[in-house]
Amino acid sequence: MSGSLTDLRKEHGQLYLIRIDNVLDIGSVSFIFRLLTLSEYRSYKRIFTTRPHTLSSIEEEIFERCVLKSFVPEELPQDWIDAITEGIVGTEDNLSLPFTDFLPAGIVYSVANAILYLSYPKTVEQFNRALDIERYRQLQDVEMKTKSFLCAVLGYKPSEIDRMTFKELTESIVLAESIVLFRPEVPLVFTTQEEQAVSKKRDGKVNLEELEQDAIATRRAIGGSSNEEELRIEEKYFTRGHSNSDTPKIDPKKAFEELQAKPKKRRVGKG
Amino acid sequence: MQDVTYNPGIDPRQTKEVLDQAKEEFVEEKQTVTKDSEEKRWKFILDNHPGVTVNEINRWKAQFKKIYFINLGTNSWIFRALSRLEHKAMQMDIIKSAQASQGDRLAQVEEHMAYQEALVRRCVLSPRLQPEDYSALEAGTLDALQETILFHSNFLPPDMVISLTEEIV
Repeated sequence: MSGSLTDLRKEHGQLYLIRIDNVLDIGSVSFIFRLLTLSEYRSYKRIFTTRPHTLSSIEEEIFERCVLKSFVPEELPQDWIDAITEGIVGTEDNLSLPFTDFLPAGIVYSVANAILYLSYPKTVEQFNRALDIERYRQLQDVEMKTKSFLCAVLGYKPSEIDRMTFKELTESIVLAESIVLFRPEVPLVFTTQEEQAVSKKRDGKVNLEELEQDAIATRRAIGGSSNEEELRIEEKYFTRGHSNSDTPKIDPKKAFEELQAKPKKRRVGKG
Repeated sequence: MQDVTYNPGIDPRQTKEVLDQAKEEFVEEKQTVTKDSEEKRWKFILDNHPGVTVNEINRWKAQFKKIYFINLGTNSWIFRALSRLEHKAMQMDIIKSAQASQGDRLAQVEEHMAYQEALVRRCVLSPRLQPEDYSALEAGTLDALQETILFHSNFLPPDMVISLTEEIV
């Protein structure tokens, strides 16, 4: 199998390396592998449960499928090969046998086990731990936050986002924002540490009204509301209860009653 | 050893010489201890395996690259690792016999024991056992031998496998 590490990562995503030392007298052997996809994992799990006797062939299949690069000496000791093929039928032509046959028996087993173990959690605790680790990672990374936002709102796959240019990324973020801002309580604003410090100094006196006006304008622009009366109600009630005392606080009950009293004349998005 | 660290009057070159000398002495001493314990180990092995000669051990080392020794109290064993090829051949035998016995529980136990015996027959270099000798062994001997042979054939426990694996960043 060939290909640079970068190409392999592009094609298969996250990769892992396993290194086993002190193998015979050839030193160490290493393998770079990918994980099983969820559907691959499910199918192997099913075979494991229904046909436990075929373990070695399944191990081999997992190994062949997921191991992308092997670092094993090209020539294994001939004395060893002669000794282990002794008395085994069908080993006259050693060339036709896979190289793994000449390694100690457990190497393929151990690598396949590592692949299975890392491909899917075995317990709820492991699942939760994996989620916690991923959450922490994403929190540390603005790019990851952006990715998850775009995946959720516009339905992109992370790999599709990786193929974007920065310009396309910002365009997508703004598009996603305009959709999210349809609900004015979720503005997406990334701030630098300096801005956060300034914002803290202002002690919560951020002008949210501007954001809300933007949201209402967006609703108008994308046809969320064409009726002037409804817009007036929205402007009156769907604003935040922040520190600005001029802005009335949300009274959802009253707003709901007032909106219910108005007969529906349009559908969202149809203008 | 001479204390050189806190002696302000000492020449730094002399300090290096003293340290080098101490290091050499330490290495020599360590080699002597290792050599002594190696000799003792081989003497013990050869005493416990009267039929085995040093030449034979060297021949096994050349053939199998690594040979191992385990002392199970009443018996000690010299063995080698199992190759993947041999493992698969033995598993094929199991599959064939499993199909023949059609999942009979008793037959499965017998197959398991047959696998253990095949493993021991193949990998244990000394003492060489005859089929009738197996029944005379203590009950757990074959299990212990199977465990240790498989471990040295790189059938590693899951925790160990994970500790050897790293994510490529």
